[in-house]
Amino acid sequence: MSISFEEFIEKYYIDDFTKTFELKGQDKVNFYNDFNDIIKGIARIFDKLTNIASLRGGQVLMSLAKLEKSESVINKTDIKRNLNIDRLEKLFHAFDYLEENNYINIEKKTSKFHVIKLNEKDNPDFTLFREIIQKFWISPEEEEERVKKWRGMQ
Amino acid sequence: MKKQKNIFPDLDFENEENTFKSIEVIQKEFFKKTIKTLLYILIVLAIYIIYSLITINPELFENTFIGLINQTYYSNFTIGWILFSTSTFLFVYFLKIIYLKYTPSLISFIKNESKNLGFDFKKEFNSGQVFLLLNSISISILIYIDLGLIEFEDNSVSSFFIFIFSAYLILCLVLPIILVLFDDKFIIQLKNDFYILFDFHFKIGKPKKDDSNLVGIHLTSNRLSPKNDRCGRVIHSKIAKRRWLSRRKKSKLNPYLHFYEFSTPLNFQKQFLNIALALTEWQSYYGSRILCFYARIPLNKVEVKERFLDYNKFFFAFN
Repeated sequence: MSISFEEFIEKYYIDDFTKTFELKGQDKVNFYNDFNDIIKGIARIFDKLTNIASLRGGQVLMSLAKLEKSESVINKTDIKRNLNIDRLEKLFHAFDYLEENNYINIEKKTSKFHVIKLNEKDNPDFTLFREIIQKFWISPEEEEERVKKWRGMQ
Repeated sequence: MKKQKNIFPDLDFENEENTFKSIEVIQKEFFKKTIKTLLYILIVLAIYIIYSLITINPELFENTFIGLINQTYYSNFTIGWILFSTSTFLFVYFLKIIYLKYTPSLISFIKNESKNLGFDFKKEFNSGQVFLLLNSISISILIYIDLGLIEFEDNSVSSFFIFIFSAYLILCLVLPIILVLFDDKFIIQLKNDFYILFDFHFKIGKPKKDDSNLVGIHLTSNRLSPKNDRCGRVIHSKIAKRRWLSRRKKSKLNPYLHFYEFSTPLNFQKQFLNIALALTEWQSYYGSRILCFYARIPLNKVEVKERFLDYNKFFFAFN
């Protein structure tokens, strides 16, 4: 189980200003592992919360953040595929909501080809969000591939 | 003539309005199915009562069609067995469909969702077919006995036959009932020893606007390991907690560990993949020397070196 934030602070005396904060060798590895555990836990929380909510907006944001790592141009179909959704109509409401609230920018190249981007300019927290998601989140598309690989289907 | 394909209404849970419409469809189908089974039970019971009346007071039905039926060659036992076994099986089946609420369109919805993921969603056993098969054999044997086609002169052979046949009759009823109660479920087979079973739940009453989780799908994995296996318990707990798997307490009498997950129609695919990935992790880690060795010591004391391996992709599945 991942370490809690309070335990992390306590373990490395981060809030103790009487001691010098110095990490070497194994301690550095421990620190890195613990820090990764915390961020990994946050990514898991994002994943679960977006699946509990009935609007698919959270999932779209996560998928968009993930795809920005590998794709320079992302359209709605890429997100649909990444989220393993069978029909694009299921995401229309989420796209509208996210655009209306300035969470994403949609550039309409043609009537059917819409390029989507995370709006990091107006939402600075999205930079950290993107970094966490790109490093730790496993998209439904990747999950499906893993299960298929395990079954020997690929 | 071409056989017409059954087409069930498409369910849609993407917005509130369509969700309520879909639930109405599911409820209508459920009531239809329940009433149909209830009707079958009533018909069998009515026949049973009429038959009892005929055997008690045959003069009541003299010169009637029912009276004619009574003059057949079949013994009371044959007819009694047909009525008794059918009504008992139908009654158990009736209780089961009230408890396990699945309807054609709900099944069709999950089938489509599973198909999108590349999985085959099917029924594990068809208890009705097993019942029909076993009982048609027993009824045929009873009719042969009534017609005198099966007869034994030797007493010991006759006693042995009666013993074996009685055991078979009990089996004919008990086996389908066991299948109805425990195995008559929908399943997705992932691998030879790994599968996921499905239970459906929804409210029977009229849905209200503020009702949440109106349709629920419970997913249960195959047996993992006995509960008294410490290694199994530790790995089960580690995976279940990390994947936020449902911790609902199943029967304490069940001596095995299972993974449980809960989904709504909206997040079915995601939750299904979550439990399927939990099984992939289970297969990788159960019995693995490292994790089973550490099962003997508390998890927070696991050495740092092993945890570091996590980032060297050795434990890629635990990402």
